[in-house]
Amino acid sequence: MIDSMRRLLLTHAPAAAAWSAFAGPIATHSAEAGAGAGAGAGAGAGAGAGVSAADDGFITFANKNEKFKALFRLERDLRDEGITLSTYQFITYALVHGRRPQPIVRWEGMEFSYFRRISELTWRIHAHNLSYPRDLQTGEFTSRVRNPFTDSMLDIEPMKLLDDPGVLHGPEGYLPLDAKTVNWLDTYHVLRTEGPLIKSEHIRPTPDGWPTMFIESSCSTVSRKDFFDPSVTALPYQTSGFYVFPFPAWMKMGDQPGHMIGAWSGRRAVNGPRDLPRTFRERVARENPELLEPRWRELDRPLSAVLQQAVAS
Amino acid sequence: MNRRDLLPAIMAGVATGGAGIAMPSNAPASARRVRSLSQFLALDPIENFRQAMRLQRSLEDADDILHWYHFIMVAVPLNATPKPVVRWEGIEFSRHQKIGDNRYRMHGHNLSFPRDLKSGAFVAEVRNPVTGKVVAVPPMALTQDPGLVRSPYGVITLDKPSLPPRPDYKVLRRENDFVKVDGIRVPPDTWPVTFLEMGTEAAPAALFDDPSQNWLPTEVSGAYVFPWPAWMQMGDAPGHMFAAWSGCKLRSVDELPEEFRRRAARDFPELLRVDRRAFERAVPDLHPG
Repeated sequence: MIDSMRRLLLTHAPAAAAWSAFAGPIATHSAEAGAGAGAGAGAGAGAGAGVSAADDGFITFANKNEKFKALFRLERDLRDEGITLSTYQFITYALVHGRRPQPIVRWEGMEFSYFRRISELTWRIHAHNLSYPRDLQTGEFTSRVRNPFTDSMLDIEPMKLLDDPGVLHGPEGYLPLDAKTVNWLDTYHVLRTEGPLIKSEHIRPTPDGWPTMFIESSCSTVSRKDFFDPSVTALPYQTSGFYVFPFPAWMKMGDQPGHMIGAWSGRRAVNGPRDLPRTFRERVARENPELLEPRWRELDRPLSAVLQQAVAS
Repeated sequence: MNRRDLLPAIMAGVATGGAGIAMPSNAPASARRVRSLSQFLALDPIENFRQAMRLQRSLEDADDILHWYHFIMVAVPLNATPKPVVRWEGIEFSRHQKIGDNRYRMHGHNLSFPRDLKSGAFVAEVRNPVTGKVVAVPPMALTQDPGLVRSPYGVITLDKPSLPPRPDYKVLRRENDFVKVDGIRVPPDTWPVTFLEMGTEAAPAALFDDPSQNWLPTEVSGAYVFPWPAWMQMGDAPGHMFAAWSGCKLRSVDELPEEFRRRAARDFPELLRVDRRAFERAVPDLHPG
């Protein structure tokens, strides 16, 4: 579990990206309080069960199952099998202890996840991520950036996260597929109404004792109309967020104390790869066309005995 | 069309003139018109400034701009696991006045109330997750802003008006039915060294493309890095705070959520009012940039 986390931390995928396999932004779903229309219509979408939503305020759930269904519906899809593709841009910053923080590079990326229900409320998820560096000022693809703290030019490669071990996601939280013990990871998640919008705030810290200086905070927005429409099994969202992570190797920061921050803004690519931004999609199709497809074979690997027990219990 | 009407429609991909960026995923694919536009706007520095100003504030010669948001503060101790501390709900209420071609003077204040991380209820104390101590958290009323002047050359903070403008970072891009500005705020040298602010503001492209709209509704998100506040009682511990917000631009205080507005009206009524007297103060030695 720690190894898989470290891989994510050190390769510094953005929240919506790297983490979503482990802990995507929770969302909600159900019938609108008092509206009645959606109540009981929750077929497959968990609608109707014990949600109350003021005009502006916090949304509460009758139980953790309903809350989880809301999350999974926003972050993934409540169908038995599905894919979620997100597209985003993010800027990474370096924070060196005692010195003024500086922006380093912009990225454009995607996270492609594919998942299958394996019990009543647990899905198995696998994912891959790909991001290309872009110039801070012009937005053009780039392969060189300046580190303002060392005043050196750095070679920078596309970020490809292809070794995701996968994760189980259910009402108890997240359980990476390489876990040696059953220790579901819980996260902070709050849903609230802002007039016509529903916002899902999700903070994903690492537990004490894990590689330090990592946290991720996201806020995903969906329309209230979609949110309370039980026929929508996967909510279209806009998302923004931030994450803190250690200096990556390519920054060549040596032993300097400090860390990085990444700030992203993006959305669900509702129509799949053809919904990715054109220049990004064309580059992926040219360099790694296989990454524009879900890697379903990842789900063929058998679960360990520990995980089988976790699912069965 | 206001935010209440327009943004949900855009989110659902059915905005007037817009393409479907966000149809429910279980809708038949053939029913969707896919457009995947992501484009940096190549604008000259003056137009870049004007459009950023229009997104972030307005192009009126004089205006009052109200932003409302929630944000969550996270403690980031050096070489330790960051931990969430407290939620806030707040406003930034600012005003500007044009003082030259593409040059605006601005003043503003902020007011935020702490809320419990889990329940969202107003609170007056929280547990510092780094030290384990329960600490009192007062409301944040930031009223000492010296003001600033903003132009295509950058920003002049009015506590040091004779210094040249500091360039700031604003990149505009179009993403399907939204136009976004990514901004990085460069603090003056007089500010604590551990400070950084960055954000993204997004407006419906249909309104952005209408030049008659001087004021645009925006959704805002961002984050900032800042030193330990006194109430955290962190002493000399190395590290800093980090906060991430999500909110929107509103037309008036009448649009604020009822609970926040009631408390602000009770505890800080003057901060719900527009006070333009700051503009009456002369600014000697203002840098011409």
